[in-house]
Amino acid sequence: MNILGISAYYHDSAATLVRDGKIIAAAQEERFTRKKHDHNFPHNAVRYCLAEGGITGGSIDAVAFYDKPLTKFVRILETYFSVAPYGLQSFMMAIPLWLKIKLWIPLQIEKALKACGIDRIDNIYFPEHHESHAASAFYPSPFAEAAMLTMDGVGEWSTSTLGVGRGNRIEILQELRFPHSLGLLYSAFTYFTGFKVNSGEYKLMGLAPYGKPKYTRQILDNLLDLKEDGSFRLNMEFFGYLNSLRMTNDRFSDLFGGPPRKPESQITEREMDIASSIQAVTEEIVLRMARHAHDRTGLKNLCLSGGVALNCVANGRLLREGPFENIFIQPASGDAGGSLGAALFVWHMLHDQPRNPDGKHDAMMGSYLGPRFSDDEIQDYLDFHQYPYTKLDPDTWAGEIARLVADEKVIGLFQGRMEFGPRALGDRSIIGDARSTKMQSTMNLKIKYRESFRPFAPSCLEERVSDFFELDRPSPYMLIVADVKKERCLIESNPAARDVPFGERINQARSDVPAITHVDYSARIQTVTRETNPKYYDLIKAFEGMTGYGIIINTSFNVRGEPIVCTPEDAYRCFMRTEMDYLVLESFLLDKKEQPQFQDNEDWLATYELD
Amino acid sequence: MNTKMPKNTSQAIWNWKSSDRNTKSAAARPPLTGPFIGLAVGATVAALFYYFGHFIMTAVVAVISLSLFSCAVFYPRGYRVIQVFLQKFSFLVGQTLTWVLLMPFFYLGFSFGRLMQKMTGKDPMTRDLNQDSNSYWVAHQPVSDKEQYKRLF
Repeated sequence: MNILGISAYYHDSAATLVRDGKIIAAAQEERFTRKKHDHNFPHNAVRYCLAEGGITGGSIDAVAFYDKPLTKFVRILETYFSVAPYGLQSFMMAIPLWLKIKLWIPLQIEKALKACGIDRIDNIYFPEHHESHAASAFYPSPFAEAAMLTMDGVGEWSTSTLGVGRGNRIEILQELRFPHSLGLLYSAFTYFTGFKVNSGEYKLMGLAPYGKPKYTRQILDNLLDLKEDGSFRLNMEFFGYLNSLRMTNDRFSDLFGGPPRKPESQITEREMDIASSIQAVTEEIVLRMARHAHDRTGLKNLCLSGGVALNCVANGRLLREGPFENIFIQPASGDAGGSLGAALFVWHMLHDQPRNPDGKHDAMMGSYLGPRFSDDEIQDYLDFHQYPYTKLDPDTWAGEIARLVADEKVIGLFQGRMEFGPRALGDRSIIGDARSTKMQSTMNLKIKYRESFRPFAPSCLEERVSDFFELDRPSPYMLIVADVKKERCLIESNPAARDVPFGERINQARSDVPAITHVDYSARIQTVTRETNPKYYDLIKAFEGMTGYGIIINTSFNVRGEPIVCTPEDAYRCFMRTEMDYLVLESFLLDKKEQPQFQDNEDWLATYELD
Repeated sequence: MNTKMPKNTSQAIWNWKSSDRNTKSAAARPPLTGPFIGLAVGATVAALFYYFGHFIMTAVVAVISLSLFSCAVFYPRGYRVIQVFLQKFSFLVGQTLTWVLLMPFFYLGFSFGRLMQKMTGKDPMTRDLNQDSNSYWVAHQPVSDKEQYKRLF
C-alpha cells in the first residue's frame, strides 16, 4: 500500500512516500525550488517521491495531508474576531490566500498528482497537525511504548501536546492551546533580536552562550505564567502576533530597554543576554513538561517532535537532567516532518498495521531519504560542461579526501541520498579539520558568508563519542548538545578568558578541537556509524588513521540563506561561488584551482533572503 | 496502480540537458500562444462591436489587437515590456478590489463579533491568567470516528 504524505502552506513544505509502513522517500520542496523554507505546494517533492517509489501512473492508495485546514481557518477567523478592529493588515494578507488556495487542498493534491500521471486517489486523510508531529516521532522510533511531547508554533489550535504511544496506537492526552505557545514565545525573541522568524531560531540558540541570563526573572515575571507541570499562559499584552504583523509590541520593547534590533545591525550585549535568558526559560519549560509527561505516563522512553524539538541545547539538558532514560527526536521535527508523520499515522492508526520496533534502531535510515545521483549522470554533466575532475578509486576514496581534510582544505562533500530535515549529515555537507584554529572563521566568513559567532558541529565516529564529549550514547541526527570533555578544554580553568570582548571570544581556541567547540565548551554532535553511512564513516575513520582524531567539522552544503544543495549542479554552483578548495561529487574530485572561470548569471548574494 | 522501478529516478528532478535546451530555445523565440489568444479575443470583440454598429470601437479594438500581435511576433522585447505592465496593472486592480471588498467586511463583521464577545464575556484566546490554577494543560478531545480523518475539520 502506497501512502503519500504532504505538508504545505505554512513553511517547509515536503512530501513523503510510505510503502507498507516503510519510508521510501522524503524531501523538502525548498531543495528543488531553491527557495528556503518554501511553503508552496510541494510539486517537485511529490514528483521525486513518486519517481523514487517507481509510481508512474494509475492510482495511489492514500494521500495524507498533515493538518486540518478548515479547523485552522476557523482558528484564524476567531483570532480576528477577538482582536478587531485591530488586525486588518494581517487579515488582508491572510484571507485572500485562504480563499484562493488553502481551502481547496484536495483539489490542489489532485491537480499535482495528475501532473505526475496519477489519475485517481483512493482516499485523502487529514490527521491533526500535532498528531502528525507525534506520529513522526513515535512510529519511526525504536520504542514499543513511549511518552510523546510535541512543541511548535501552532497547528490548528494546539501549540504543545502530551501523549502516549503504545504498539501501533498513539493517543494525545493533553494540550496547550493557541495563543499560548512555546514556539511562538521563542520566535518572538528571535524577531526581537533581529533574526528572521521561523528561520533564525537556531541563531538565537547559538548566540545564547555568549550572554548571561540577566532577563530570566523579567521574562518569568512579566511574559508568562508558568506552572510546575510546564504548562503556561503568555501575557498577550506584550505580544503583537494576534493583532499585527509584528511578534512583539511596544510594551515588550519597554521591558527589554529599547526597540528590537534591526536585522544585520551590530549584535550587542543586550541581544546576547536576551538570547541567554529566553534559552534558559525554554529549557526550564521543556524540562517541566517532560517531568509532567513522565509522571503522567510512567514510561521510560520519550519521543520529541515539533519545531521546538530542534532546540538541541534543550534536548541535551533533557537527556542529562530529565526523567527519561531514552529519548528519540524526529530529525525532521519541523513542519516538513509532518508529511512523514501523517503518512505513518494513516498506515498504523487508520489501517491498524503493526510496528516492529527492536528497541535499538529507528526506522529513519539515518534520515537519508532524498534523491541520489549516479556516477554516470555526474560524469555526463561534468564532461558536457568540460569541468576538470579526477575520478577516485573506491578503495582510496576515503583516504584521499581524509588527506585533504588533514591538510586544512575545505571540501564540499556530495554523496549518497540527500538528507531529510534541516541538518546535513554527511551527504550534502561541507567538511573540514576540527583541530584547526582558523577553520571556524574561515568557514563562516569565506564559505558560508554568515555571522562569525555561529558555531560548527562535529561528525564523530560513534565509538569515539565518549572520548571527545560528555555523552555516552549515539546522537545520529545532530540534535543533542553536550560538553567537550574537560581534559580536552584549554582555557576552562582560566576564568579571565571568559570575560574578553565578544569578537575576541569567537576566535579563542577553547579545546584541542577548537573549530567545533562553542564558546560555552559545548558541541552539537553527530555520531556516525558504518551501518547508516559507510562512505562517510570510512572517511572519518581514515582521518583518524592519519591524525588520531575520529572527528571532523560538518556544516551544511549551502551559503547563508540558501537551501542545502540537492543536485550536482547546485553543488558545483555553490562550490564555485565560495572559497571551498575541493568538491567531491560521488567518485569525482574537483580542484578549485583547475576549474574554468565560473559564469555566474545572477547576483546570488542578493538572491537568497537572509534569515 | 503501475509500480515499477524507474530507470533513472533523478531525471524526475534534475533534467539538466533538457533544461539547457529549453533555456536556449526560450531565449530565441518566445511562445506565441498568449499573443494568439489575445488576437482571437480582440477579433471576437471587434466583430461584436461591428455587429452592433460601433464602427469606431471596432477599429480601435482591431488596431490594438493587431498591434500587440505584431509586436509579439516582430519585436518580442517590446511585447515583454507591455506584458509586464499589464501584469502589474492587473495585480494592482486585483489588490484594490480585494481591499474594497474585504475591508468593510472586516470592520463590519469582525468588529461586531468582537463587540458581541466583549458583551458576553467570551475570550476564545483565553488571555486571562489564572494564578489559582495548578495547570493550563487541557484535555485533548479524541477523534472518535475514523471517517473524521477524511474531513478538513
